[in-house]
Amino acid sequence: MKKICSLLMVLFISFGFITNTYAHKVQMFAYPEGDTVFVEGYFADGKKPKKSEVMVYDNGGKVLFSGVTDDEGKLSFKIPQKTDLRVTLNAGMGHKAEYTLPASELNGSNPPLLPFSKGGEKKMALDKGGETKGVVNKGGDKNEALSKVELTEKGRASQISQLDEAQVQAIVEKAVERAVGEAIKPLVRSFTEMTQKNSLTTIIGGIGYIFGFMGIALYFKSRKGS
Amino acid sequence: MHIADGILSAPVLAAGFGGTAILAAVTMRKMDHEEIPKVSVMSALFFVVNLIHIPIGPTSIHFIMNGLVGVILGKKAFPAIMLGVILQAFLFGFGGVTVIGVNCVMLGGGALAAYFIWQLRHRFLLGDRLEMIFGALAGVTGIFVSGVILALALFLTGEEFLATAGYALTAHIPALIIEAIVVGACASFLKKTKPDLLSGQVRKRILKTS
Repeated sequence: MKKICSLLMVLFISFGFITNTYAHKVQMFAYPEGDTVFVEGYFADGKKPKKSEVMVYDNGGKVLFSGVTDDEGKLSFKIPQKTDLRVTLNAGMGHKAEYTLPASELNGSNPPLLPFSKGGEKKMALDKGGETKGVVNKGGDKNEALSKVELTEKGRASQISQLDEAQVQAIVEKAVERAVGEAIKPLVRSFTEMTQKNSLTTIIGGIGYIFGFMGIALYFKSRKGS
Repeated sequence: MHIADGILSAPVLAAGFGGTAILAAVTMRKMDHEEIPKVSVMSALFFVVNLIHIPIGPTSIHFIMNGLVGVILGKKAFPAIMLGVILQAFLFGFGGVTVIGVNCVMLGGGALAAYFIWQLRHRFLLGDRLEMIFGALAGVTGIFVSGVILALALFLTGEEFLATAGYALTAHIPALIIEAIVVGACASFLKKTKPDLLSGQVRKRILKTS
């Protein structure tokens, strides 16, 4: 019994060394902005996966894009197709992460600076994964609005007073969406990091499991013996 | 050193589960009362020590300690490591659920190899330093063999063997050195204080049971 106690002591003293209880696990995070998707990878201990291979697949597993991250572990690419995008990041040596961007999150191929890219109603919500959730596009007048924009783009500033109510609404909604998206980005990121972190509670829970199994094994052993 | 989901091909994954089942069946036979708490404690140690990162200069390393598990538990190291790996996969997403088999063979195989090296000490007469030297060697062997199995698993899925193995081993050199020191120190300390805690103490066991 004594020896087990001393081993347990060593175990608990080793908790003192838990400066950060992250794994060497690679994580990734992808978000669309306008017509570009930004991919960011990081190891859970804060290092960046440099020169890691990034692959983008569609629903059927067809490769739509492949590239390599820069020294910051970042990569961006134009949205190749408006379907669900499955982005994988391979940091080598068995470290791989995956992230799926649903089609509803992609704003299509509209350049981000055009405020008329969407008509109709929009919704923004934080779902449990912490991603900004999709935009419902109900406007049937999208193409019409777009062509109007092209015509009037140069003189937009002077004509802004002539826009009708729906267009003003569209501009405001677009601007709000971008501002909110920008503002919550760090939040979303830290939320993702937080949910993936190993907590001390989980570690102690795991040790509890192990000793629970030990108890079960000993119980059956002792019944057999008696 | 855990492999994540979605990297290895299906045959390698299946081989991993098969290998784990065989090794578990072989190593778990005849486990006596006294060994169960020992296995559990070492399993807990392995489980925790993998999650502790020690910052060294610009990077950080984490222990693997399968060498120490091998030195203390002998063949019973495999079930201990298997339990640790399964819990790490489910609780932390460390490695993946489909890769549990391969990860068990990789880390547990390293522990068994470490035990093998540890047992070689009976053939040498080095006096007081014996346990320390062979403990250190066993610590190195544990990581080294795991690295080779890792590279082998990746190789069978299509990566180049030598490059991957070299990369895996250079990445673990700091861990190798520190673990050699830690396992060597543990072994010589236990030899002095509680020798029957170490595996493969043949004479002691016979004396005790008779």
